[in-house]
Amino acid sequence: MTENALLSIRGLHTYFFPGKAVGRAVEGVSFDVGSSESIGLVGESGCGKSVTALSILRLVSRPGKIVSGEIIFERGGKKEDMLLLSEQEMTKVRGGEISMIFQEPFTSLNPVFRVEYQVGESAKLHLGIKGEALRALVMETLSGAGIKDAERVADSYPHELSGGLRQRVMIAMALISGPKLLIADEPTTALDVTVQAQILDLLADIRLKRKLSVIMVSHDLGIINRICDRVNIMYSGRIVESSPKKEIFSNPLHPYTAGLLKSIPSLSKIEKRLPAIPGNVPDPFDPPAGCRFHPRCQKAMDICKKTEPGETVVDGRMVKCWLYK
Amino acid sequence: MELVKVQNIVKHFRKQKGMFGAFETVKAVDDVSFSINEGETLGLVGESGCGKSTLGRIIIRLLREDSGKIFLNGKELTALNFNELKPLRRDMQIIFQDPFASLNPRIRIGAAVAETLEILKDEDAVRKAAKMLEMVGLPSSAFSKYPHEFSGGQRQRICIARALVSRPKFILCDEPVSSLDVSVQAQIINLLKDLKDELGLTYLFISHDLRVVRNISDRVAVMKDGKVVEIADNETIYKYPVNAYTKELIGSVQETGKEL
Amino acid sequence: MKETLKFIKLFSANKSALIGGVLVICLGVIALAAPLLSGYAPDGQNMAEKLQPPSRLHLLGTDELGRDVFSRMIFGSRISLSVGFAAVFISTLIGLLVGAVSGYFGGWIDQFFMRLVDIVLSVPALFFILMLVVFLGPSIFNVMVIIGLTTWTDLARLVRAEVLSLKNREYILAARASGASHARIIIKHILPNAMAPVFVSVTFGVAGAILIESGLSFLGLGVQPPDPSWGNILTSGKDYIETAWWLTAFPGMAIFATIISYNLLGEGLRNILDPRLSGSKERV
Repeated sequence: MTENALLSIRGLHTYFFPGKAVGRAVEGVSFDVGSSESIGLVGESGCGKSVTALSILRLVSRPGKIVSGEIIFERGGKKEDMLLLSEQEMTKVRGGEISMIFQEPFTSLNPVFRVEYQVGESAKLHLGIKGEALRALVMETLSGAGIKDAERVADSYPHELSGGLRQRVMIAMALISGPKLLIADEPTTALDVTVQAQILDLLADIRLKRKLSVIMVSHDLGIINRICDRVNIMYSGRIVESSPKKEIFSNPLHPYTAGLLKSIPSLSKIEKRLPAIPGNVPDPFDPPAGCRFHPRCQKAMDICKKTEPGETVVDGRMVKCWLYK
Repeated sequence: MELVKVQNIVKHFRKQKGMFGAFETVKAVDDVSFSINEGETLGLVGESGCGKSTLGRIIIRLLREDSGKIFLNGKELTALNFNELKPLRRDMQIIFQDPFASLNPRIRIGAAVAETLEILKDEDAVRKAAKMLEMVGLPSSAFSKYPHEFSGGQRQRICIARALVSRPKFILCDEPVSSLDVSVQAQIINLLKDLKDELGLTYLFISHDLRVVRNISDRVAVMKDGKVVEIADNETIYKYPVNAYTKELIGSVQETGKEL
Repeated sequence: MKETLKFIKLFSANKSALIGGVLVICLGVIALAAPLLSGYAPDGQNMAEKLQPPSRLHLLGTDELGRDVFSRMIFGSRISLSVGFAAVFISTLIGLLVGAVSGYFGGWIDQFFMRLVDIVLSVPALFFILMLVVFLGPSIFNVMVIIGLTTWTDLARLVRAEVLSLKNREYILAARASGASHARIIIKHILPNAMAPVFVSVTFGVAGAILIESGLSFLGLGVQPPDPSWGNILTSGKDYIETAWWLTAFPGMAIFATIISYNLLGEGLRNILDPRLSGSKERV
């Protein structure tokens, strides 16, 4: 464990139990988030990236359950395992020290309350301020989220705002109590590209200004490139590669990372055929044996089919692949 | 040769503000004209609500225009009624965005793919459907299965087979890869490219993702607020965009190769 | 096949569906096997044995004309059940048609039918039914038709809502793009996907129709004597309620048991069918 990590996840297992089957959504995920560091959690549908994010705040709902692991978070100078905290303590963490923003700005805001009330609620709860001071803080936070006419927006109902504005309101809501860590789950996926670019600019800016640690969950490596320092690639419930951003894009270690990067179409380079990864994303209820990626891997060896690779450290980067043993 | 010609298409929707509010007119498609040559892929990009899907649906006659004309192979589609249109449906088909919503959960794959031919009273429907499924890379066992037994990428292959089984000339691809995983998306783009070469298809490829459009199109049209603001060669529009909005769109794309 | 198996599995795991289903089947078997089960003709009078309490000879006693109550009841169940089913058949047919056409075509057609539904619903149902019976005259056939004609509104609304949510699915558009006719789209693509709530509604509908029939017969406006029906057995029994309790208690219990079993079955079906039988796999 890194000494100065703000958040350290160790051996996190989150399973789903609908009926008799067991869906191993997250299986042994470990990573650190340093203070004011931005981590990307990347993968395709069903890889467990969102479940990992939800597990940190213990928001996984039935039939999902955190089965084992440790989530160590630094609170008030002390390191505490959040999986051992009482539910009451957790409500202080959620929205107070760790905030989360979601993909859908349309459903994440309550339609019957004005923006001012919704944004202020968390500050009322966690900071205990009210009245004029609260209104002033709400205005300041809304402006900080890049909303120019904060007064008008504060008095609006969510349906009166555009998608981009709603996502800015969501960001303001997440930031008002001054959290140390922001978890963003696909925050721009539902937005148009031009709006997406603005929101990403805003997040990059806020991150630096507030010295905020960020966990960015996304399927889009382009977005990760814009905002993260370090990237964790997830596949079938595991982190298969963890590298600094620069290196992951120029020299991916894991064959899956390499395949993923190549399969993204690019503006600057047109290819006759995109180098696609064959096959489909594995079903968490019925994953392949051995290395989860082996059925789709062109470099698969005999050992990959039988035994799952452990962690290997290559030049300070972590990879789980037999090629590097 | 021109296969599809779109002439001054206009479509307005009336929208009421609230339950008792005043009606306002939304110009979904506002005087759009262009044509698509045989064997060409025209990419149509724009953001949500720009009217690209409405335009697409007007072209393949799922929606009626307010004014304007659509020609397919020289025939004016906008002048035909339901029954006159029926035989022409064979020549134009559509592939949708969401492969989970675009297959009837209660109909077996084989029957779903064969349906177009059945409507056309083709006696060879079953054999042709099986052959088409094979062509899009699905095992023959798929024929008698139900949609929920397939993943998103496989379902999109089924939808492609369904669209192509009547051997149409023109395919409207409405965001066909937007809801797929990146690694699967590339497979489907490749498949669409291969099928186009093999069967001599013409595509109108609608997407919000400029990266995808750039990779599949011969020409690109950019749409905003119901209007086509720029239309040009794929290379030209990317390297020398004229319209301010096109430039903004290109600038907004998050690239993995881009150094920041 | 797979779906049928899954349905059976879910059905047998659901207590209320299972109990309701078994009871419904039992009642059906009793009605079908009525001539084999009853020792007496339902209208065979024997004045020497009138108003006998339940005994080994007459399981549920006899009535004021010496007819065997057990026989009358099981023959009555034939009439009650067939009125129930016929009425629901008629109301389902109308409800499906109106709901599907309204939902699918929308516009003024929808406006017209939905206002019609409003009108039918705004007249108190029993009053409406009584008026029709008086007008058309009481008979088994009339009762079936009248109940059918007055109870389709809920189903029409239900089906309309289902169709509205289904008609813009992309597979419907795909079928339209292939030149499928409206009839083909409604019958092949929309209705099969809207059937789950229809099954549930039919089950509840049978219970409701039987209850209405009993009520009408009780008032003398339904099934006419000497044809036995649970309702008219109750009517003739009410005069002897202080001396011959069995004349009212048993038909009352029969009505109660039938309604309960259909409602249990309906409740169970709703629980099974509501999170749709064949959903796409849930994503983790």
